[in-house]
Amino acid sequence: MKSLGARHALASYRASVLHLFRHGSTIGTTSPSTFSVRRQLISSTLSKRKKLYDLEIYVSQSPSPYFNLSFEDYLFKQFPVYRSESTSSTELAKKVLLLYTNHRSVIIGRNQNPWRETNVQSLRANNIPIIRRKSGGGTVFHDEGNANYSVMMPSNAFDRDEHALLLCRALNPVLSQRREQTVLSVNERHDIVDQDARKVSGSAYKLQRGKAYHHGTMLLNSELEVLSKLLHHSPDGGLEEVDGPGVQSVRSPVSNIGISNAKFTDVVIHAFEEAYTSVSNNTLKIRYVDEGSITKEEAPEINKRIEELQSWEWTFGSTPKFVHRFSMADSTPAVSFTVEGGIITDLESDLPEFAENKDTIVGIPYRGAEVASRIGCKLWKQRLLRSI
Amino acid sequence: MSSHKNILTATTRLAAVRSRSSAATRSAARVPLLHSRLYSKPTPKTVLWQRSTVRQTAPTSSLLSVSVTCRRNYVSSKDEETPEGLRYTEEHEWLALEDGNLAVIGITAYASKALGDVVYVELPTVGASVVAGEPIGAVESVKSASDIYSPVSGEIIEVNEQLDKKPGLVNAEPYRRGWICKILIKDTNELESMMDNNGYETFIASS
Repeated sequence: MKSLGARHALASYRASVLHLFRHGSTIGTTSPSTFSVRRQLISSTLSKRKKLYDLEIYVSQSPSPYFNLSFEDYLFKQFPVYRSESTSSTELAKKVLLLYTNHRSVIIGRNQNPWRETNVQSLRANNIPIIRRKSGGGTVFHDEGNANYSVMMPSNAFDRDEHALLLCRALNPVLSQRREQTVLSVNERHDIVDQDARKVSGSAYKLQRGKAYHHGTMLLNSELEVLSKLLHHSPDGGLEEVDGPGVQSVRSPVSNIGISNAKFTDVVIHAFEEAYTSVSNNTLKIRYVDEGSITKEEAPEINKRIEELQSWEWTFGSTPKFVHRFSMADSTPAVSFTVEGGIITDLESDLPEFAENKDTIVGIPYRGAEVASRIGCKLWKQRLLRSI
Repeated sequence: MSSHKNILTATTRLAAVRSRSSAATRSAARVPLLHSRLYSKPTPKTVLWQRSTVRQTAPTSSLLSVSVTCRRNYVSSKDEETPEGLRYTEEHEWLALEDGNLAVIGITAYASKALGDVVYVELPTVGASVVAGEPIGAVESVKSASDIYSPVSGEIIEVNEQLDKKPGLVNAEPYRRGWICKILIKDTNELESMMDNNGYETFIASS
């Protein structure tokens, strides 16, 4: 059994070799090698070798993370399910590309714990929404300087690195024109990193029957100091601990690539068009969407998803069961809350202010204001309001 | 569990490299000391300690074979790829009948290998009623959330709570301790449309 790192490295290596094979060095025909090389040099033979798709491109002009994630989920629902027997050789499979940019928000992965990954109260104080997405992976910070891309494909075409590699190949020529020699590549964690191994893009995936999507961020001109402050959960100076299952984020040093949103959109659309459509087909379908331009048929589905994303039950209530431990300044345990489905199911404490109020606290949702209102001690009230 | 595996893999590889490079410098004086440690009871902590001290002294080939065996026993799955007697779906779930209408569900070894190391399993709620073909949970691995579908209709009777603390069981023992949930089947006719192990092997070979 290989370690996770080795398996990823092998998978990326395999993918890059496969990619070279598909698009570059060898042409798998029976013609003599000299003839093949000449053909490759002369014509755009590559365009005949690449896998073509019925490509649909959507560009969202809404800055609302709720709308954008809901629209993405809706597009995924509409994406056809491909069974292995149904792919005919004449019909092209569909591929969807969605590009969007959100205003300031923190997006956590489907199986993460927001109390562990972020400082919930400080985000609330700064008016930054926390949103739980449907795909896996870790926590990311979005703002107007961060662009997001989402690619939907049939499950038999699912590849974790293919589109990240495509983006690298498309962006590297643009970045090399600038003074700083920025060179992008994909690492074994399927992130896009620059030449100093700083992360510029993170990826997450979702797989369902017959279809899958890969979406990722791209740091263009993001406010990195704000990002590091918000995603650094400093649990009350080390006196707090969140214990429980769920996916934990892996921290990485980050960097911006410094091109404009418009330029990025342009480069990505052009790269996808070149890779997945034939040269002769000039009718590229690009649809620009926002809250005002969705159709009457689409509206109820999208609004339903917006409501779900905004609900406390989905964002906080669907956190896997955990125990949140608070300690005193001298590190002796003070109180620990057991939270299941966002509701406090147990409380353990030797302190009188918690022990005597246990009956009123157990059973309520795990929200700072609600718990604090049931505690008499002012210091604890403040501390809980800061931390929950 | 996966971090433990990584330690085992890393130290085994390191031991292999060192044994190859320092074969000439192995001294006979060190061998009896190593053997006495080898015969102590190998709990996981002891095994790690043995290997970490071995890194400072040149490891012998006998220790290398012991460390490889320890790793294999601790981590290996004795499961066959596609056991007989189970039923399979095209979504790579398996179903085993226990006591009449009670079915145990899990994902196949093929699926767990394709997904990679599982880091979280989203289990269905006990008591929920499910319809065949509907998603009942999800498995997260390598940043990917993959839906699991119910092969049959019925009610969820029990879920495997061990997966909360040890999601890696889905990779290590997909047919044994890595089971996901137990369903009380409403209509046993639904079982007819599922594949047997040969049918499933043909299906995965052709996809």
